[in-house]
Amino acid sequence: MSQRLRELIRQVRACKTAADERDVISKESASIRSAFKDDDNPYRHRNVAKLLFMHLLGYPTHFGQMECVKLIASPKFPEKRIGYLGLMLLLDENVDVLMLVTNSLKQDLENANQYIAGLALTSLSNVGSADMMRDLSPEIERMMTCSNGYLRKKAVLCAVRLARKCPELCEGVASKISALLSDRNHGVLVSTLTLLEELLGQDTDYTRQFKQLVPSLTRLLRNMMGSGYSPEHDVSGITDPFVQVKILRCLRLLGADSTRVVDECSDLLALVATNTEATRNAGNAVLYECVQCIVGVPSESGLRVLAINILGRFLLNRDNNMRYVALNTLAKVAPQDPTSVQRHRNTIVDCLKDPDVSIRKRALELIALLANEKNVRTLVKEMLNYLGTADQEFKRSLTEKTCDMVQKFSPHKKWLLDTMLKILIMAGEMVPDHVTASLTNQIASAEELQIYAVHKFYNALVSEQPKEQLLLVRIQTFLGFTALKAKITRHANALQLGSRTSDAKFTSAVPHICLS
Amino acid sequence: MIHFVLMVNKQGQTRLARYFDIPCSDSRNTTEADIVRKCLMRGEMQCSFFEFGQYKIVYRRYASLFFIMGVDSSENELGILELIHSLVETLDRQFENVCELDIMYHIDKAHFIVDEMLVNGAVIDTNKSSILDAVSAIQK
Repeated sequence: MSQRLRELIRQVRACKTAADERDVISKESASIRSAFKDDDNPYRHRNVAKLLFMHLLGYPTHFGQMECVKLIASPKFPEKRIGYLGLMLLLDENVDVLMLVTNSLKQDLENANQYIAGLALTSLSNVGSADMMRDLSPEIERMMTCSNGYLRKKAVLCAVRLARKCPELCEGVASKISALLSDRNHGVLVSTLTLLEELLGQDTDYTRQFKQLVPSLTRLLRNMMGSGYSPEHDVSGITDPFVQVKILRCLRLLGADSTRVVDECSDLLALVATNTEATRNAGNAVLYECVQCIVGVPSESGLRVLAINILGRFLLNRDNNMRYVALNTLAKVAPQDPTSVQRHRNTIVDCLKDPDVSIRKRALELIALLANEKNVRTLVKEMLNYLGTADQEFKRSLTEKTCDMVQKFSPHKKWLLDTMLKILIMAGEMVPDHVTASLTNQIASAEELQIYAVHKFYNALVSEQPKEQLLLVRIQTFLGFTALKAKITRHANALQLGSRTSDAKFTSAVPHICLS
Repeated sequence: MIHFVLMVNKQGQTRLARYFDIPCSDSRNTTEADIVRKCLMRGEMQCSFFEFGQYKIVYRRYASLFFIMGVDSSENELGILELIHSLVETLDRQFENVCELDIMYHIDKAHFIVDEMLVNGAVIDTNKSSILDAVSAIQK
């Protein structure tokens, strides 16, 4: 008599050690394996349920795959149900056994019981191989326009997989989208929009054909925003935010290279951006998608500024998720629209001090994108303030980015020298080699600054006493080389320093200096 | 596309795992363990998203369970958070104040609810009444 699933779960929970658990599972595994050999076993579905539990724990369960196939072929509903669940969890499209299920699937798709047909559709959508999809595509297409809403929505999502696996069969499916967009069932709507998104991602022929759908999409969104409270679709005061987000995503894909589409939906985008409630996450999700739509299409500047201001508001939100999302999007927008993003520079710099490392990283990348000759001094000052207190992991990327910015945008060489020295003192060991090499070149080419450079570096060595060997070598290399070029008698300083260290690189340079 | 849904407790034990289009393999198990470890290590004040390889991970903790979804980098993260919340509310309505044990002992029901909401990594329905009607009819 096989035990029920609950009993097995209780036994496993009672195990004190991993070895105990392995024992229990292997005993049960053996008993299930011998039960499967018996064709008449009435507890087959119970055994497969136990197998699913064992699979969740990470134990091998491939011997149960054939059993799932047998269960699916059973006329009894509970057995079929577990069979399909087992199919979805234990098998994937690469397993040969899957082909055996095709016939059962075909029969179940035509079953009068909508739940059986629904099970078949769901399983096909989750694990169907390309061959199976090809075989069953006529059924899927037919069910996309059947009268049962429950089956319609499942058939449409099955068509998404069909589109992915067999793109050559998409004609029939694509022609149905227009009618499906006027469906009253929100499940069908959200599935249709997913199908539209999938097809738009595939082929440019479809993009042209689907541009005619833009008016229906805008009408749908407008209705949703304008309709009153609808309890079944309402989420925190927004009517079905999932459908709204999908519509906006489809509009973005359709309008990416078309000003005509953009003209048709600019008003709507402005409406969504200004009227959507931003107090709860649902509203913010819609706003975020709207902003992404605006920046992803060739929209006019007024609309873009509106979008960037919304991102600025997100940045000021206490919720870390909002700030993360805003920083991410601003980083995408900054190359195209640097002036509008500059307005929020102070808030972005504040994010460098955030306790969350994801936000610090994003803020750093964004600052690097915003740097130019005018603002580099203030930006670098803030970054240096932070460099002192940054943790090791972050310090390296912060140092590299700061060095980059200083090298690219410094207004004049004296400032570059001073700033690089500060960085070398604070985080010299993390400065990349190419930066120190180019710094040497820059000092070498600026005759007027060489004396100044020698002074500053020497003072730094003496007062700051950097302990890091590499740093010492670098500063000494500068000094030696610079003093050589400047041909000044402060060679003596360099020599004194040289005698304090046993570094081979420097001592080999000393004779040259003495000779000149 | 949503690539996987995980429900994991604070000790790192997976109570429900649903993968869409990712075949079973050892690397899948190790990736799952790595992601779970990372989620458990994150603090209260950190945001609910992070990147892991090719996936963006969106997670939220409800009592003793972490609900984790691995999605494409092009997905709307805030939308996925709403989806997680919708899933939790549906489970709550089904099990009346759902807790970890409910999911453990009724793993098949939990899977059916996930099946009614997500198919092949896409949202199919978020209307709680229609989902729960279908699940209770299936149970008969």
